[in-house]
This record gives sequence, structure tokens and C-alpha cells, in this order.
Amino acid sequence: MSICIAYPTAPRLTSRRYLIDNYDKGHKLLPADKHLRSRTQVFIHAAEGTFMLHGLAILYARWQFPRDAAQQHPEILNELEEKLSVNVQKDFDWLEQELGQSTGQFLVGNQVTAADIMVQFSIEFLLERGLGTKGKSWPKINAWNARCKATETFKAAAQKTGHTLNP
Amino acid sequence: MQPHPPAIHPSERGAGSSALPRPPAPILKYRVASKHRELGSFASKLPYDARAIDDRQKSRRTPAMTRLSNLAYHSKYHDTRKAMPDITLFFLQASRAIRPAWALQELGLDYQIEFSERQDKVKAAPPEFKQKSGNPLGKFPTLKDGDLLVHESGAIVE
Repeated sequence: MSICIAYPTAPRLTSRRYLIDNYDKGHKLLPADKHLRSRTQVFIHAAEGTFMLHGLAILYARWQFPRDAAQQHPEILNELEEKLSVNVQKDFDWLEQELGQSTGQFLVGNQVTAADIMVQFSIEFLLERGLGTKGKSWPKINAWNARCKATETFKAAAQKTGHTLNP
Repeated sequence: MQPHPPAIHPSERGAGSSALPRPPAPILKYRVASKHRELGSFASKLPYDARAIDDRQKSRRTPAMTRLSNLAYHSKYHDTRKAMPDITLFFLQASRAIRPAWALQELGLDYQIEFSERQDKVKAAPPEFKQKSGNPLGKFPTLKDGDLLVHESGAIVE
């Protein structure tokens, strides 16, 4: 009965850290080493809190900017996008620099970790939609992105789900 | 999955425990089911937190018990069959859902896909798909493992 009182069951449980907590006993996605683990966690959170945040600000501006104003004064939206792009440019420069410092093929070492899984989608999405990238190219990011997409596991996931950013 | 049992950390090593490595934690479904059998059918209807049960058991475990269970795990009679998780990924096209799909592949887990295109290919998810996933915000990916629903690609992967 004590269990019942201490932990009332919610109708729907949600969990943070689900797959790693429950199925990554071999520390494949989140390394066991303290330093590598915290480096991985930086990228896991940067995927949404840095890259997607700054990129989606531009996407939402495009979607929500009043249509009449955009037709009459397109320079306003252009200026807005130009200013919002500063953050994205900094983010990509940072990632380029981090990839230069990585000792392996991927963001944390020579194996795919949760860092690559999280950040790859953000990078692919921002480049594909041209959100703040201003047509610029980052050679190390491009090479890493291609390596991610060439892994057997990514190819299997893409094939099983039919994933594409341009349906 | 789980090719090598993790080595015992010195702090976890009880007095006189055997040199065998500690076996990995049992799979959740088995652990919960066995606890329910112990408590009887009435208890199985009660809310519970599996991790709390496990912690309570751990505190009661003596070195002799640990040694015995290690021996049982490494004996030839140990059942190595694994309970395959019953995972469904609600996958909205052109979304963050590729992240958990890739993570599941990396972990070598089997999973089902519930796939949906966006409305007019590029707009929001169809309302019936939102409802089916059970996610209150109607956002994707959503992962269902047994009775458990997890939202947010970051939370699913991590």
C-alpha cells in the first residue's frame, strides 16, 4: 500500500531520457565517460535550444508576416530575415569549429551518438529550408552531414519510415 | 543488445562477493510481472513505480544474495531470451521523427511505424493522426512503448 500512496499513477506517464535510460545499457548513444557524456549533452540540447530556435524564428517570421505588408514592402521582411540570420550564422560557425576539434568522424568520437542524431536533423532542416544560412557553405558540416546520412542505421531508418524533407 | 554485463564498481562490491561481473538489470516487464505475482492479483491493480520497487529490493540485497543471483545469471540454465519491446513510433513526414527512428536503429530495437503525410504535403498533421497518437499537443514524434507514451524527440532519444 505504501507504494500506492507514494506514487499515484498518472493516466499517462511521460519520461525524459527515454531510449537512453531504458535501452542504452551499452552506452552507445550517451558515452559513459564523464567528459564525452557532457560534450554529447551539449549537442543534444543545442539541437533544439540553439539551432532550431534560431532557424524557426525565421521560418515563423516568413509564415506569419502579414501578406499585404510583404507584397507592398518586401524589404521589411528581408531586413527582418537578415537580422535574424546573424544567430544562425554564429551557430553554424560554432559547429564548424567543434567538428574541427572532434577527434573522430562524428561529433563525439568515431561512433554515432545522440549528439549526431539530434543535431543532424536541425542542420539538414535549416540548410534545406535556407533558414539563416544565406546560401553559405560550411565544408566540415557538409562532410559530417553526408557521413551521418551514409551510415547503415540512418539509411535503414530513412527506408523504414520513408522520411524526406521534401514530400 | 547488452553484449557484456557491466563490470562491478568497487563501491558496489559487497564483502566477499564473487569475481563474476554483475548481470545487467532485468528487463522492466519481467521485473514488474514477477513483483505482481508476489503481491497477488489485488496488488497488480494498484498503481506502482517499478523503479521504487527495484530500489527497495536493492537495499535489502545482501552480498550472499548478490553472489547467488550472479551465479544463477551465469549458469547454463539462465534464460537468455529477451522480451522484445512493443514500440510504436508515430511518424509525421518531414518532421523531427527521423531522430528517434535513427536512435532505434542504432540501438538495434524493433519497432512499428505509424506513418502519416502532412495535410497538402507541407501543412500540419491530419487531426485524426493527432488524435490517434494520444499526444495532447498533437505534435510528432510520439513514441509508444507498451502502455507508455513519450513526446518530444529530445526526450525520446535521451
